[in-house]
Amino acid sequence: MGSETRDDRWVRMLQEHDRSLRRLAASYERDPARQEDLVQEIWFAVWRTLPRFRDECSERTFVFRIAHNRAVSHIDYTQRRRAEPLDEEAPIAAPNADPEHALSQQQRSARLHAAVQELPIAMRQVVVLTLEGLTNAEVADIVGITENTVAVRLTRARAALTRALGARREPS
Amino acid sequence: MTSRDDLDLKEMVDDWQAAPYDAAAAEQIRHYVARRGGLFWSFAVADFVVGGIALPVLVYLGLVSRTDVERMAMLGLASITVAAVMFGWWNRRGVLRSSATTIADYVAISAERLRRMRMAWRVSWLVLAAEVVVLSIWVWDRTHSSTSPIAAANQPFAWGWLGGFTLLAVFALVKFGRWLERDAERFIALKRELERD
Repeated sequence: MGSETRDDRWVRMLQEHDRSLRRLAASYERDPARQEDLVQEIWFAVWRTLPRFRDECSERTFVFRIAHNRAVSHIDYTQRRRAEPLDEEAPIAAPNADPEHALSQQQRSARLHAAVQELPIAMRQVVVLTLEGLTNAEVADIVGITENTVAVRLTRARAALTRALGARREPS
Repeated sequence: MTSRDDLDLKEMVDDWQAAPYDAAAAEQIRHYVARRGGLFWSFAVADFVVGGIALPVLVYLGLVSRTDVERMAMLGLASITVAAVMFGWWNRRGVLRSSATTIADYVAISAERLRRMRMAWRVSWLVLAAEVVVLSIWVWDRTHSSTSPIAAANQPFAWGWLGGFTLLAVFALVKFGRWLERDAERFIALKRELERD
């Protein structure tokens, strides 16, 4: 990594983490255009902060810290309080080799994303990072809370998600 | 987990990560950041250019002025400009580079940033008041000057210009103050929610 320039490193980070950051942005912002703005702001902040990054944590932790801080800044509290009902007809990607399985997973994915959007912010931060595959220790490091608090919030978040998704899975 | 009914985490992770992704969007991000990067530096340069032009012009006008009052007014405005710029730099210390801190630290920095912006808002009123006083003395001196008075027909324009400038600045500061209050309310609500376990 020694000879890697700032721009090269940033492009590599973009390729590795853009997918995750888009999911994160979607959990904070429903409107696709504003979602895109948020993702752009996050990546710009990463680019700006990169010269000061001294590898004191993993790149993933670095990127997620910036992403969460930008997302928190982005939240329009009043708009969030007027949240519209969940979109049951969320967009579904083209099916892959196993169309039925893929379709079903995309539907579950869309519902899970919608349910995560409904969580209170403190829970949402923890659950989004966990769903991105970060350990409790990494989540605690990013959010600035203890691992115990991470575990408590995660337990509550999973219970809330179970209720929300369970209710939605009931046939009408 | 406390309940056997809770969804399996592994299943949730799989579902979460199965969200559709448009790889072409990454290319747009690269263009956006390149553009913003250029814009960012142009703003930084503009700050220096504006300060670098305003200050010499005011000092020059002070040196070539026709009366003592005019000289003092121009040098007074130059001093106010220097003081305002220095305050701005001092007031921004330590709150600009916060993107990679923990969320808890970031919230603390945001609170400090809000406090500094309120201080800047209060100081802006003082700067405006000082500028209006200095400019009023200058216009008054020019209208009553024995060496190079403003023509009687142009005097309403001179006072009108000063009134317009003052009104515009007051309007901008009132708007900024309201925006600050709304931002503070939003921030306090967000902080409360973030701190809730």
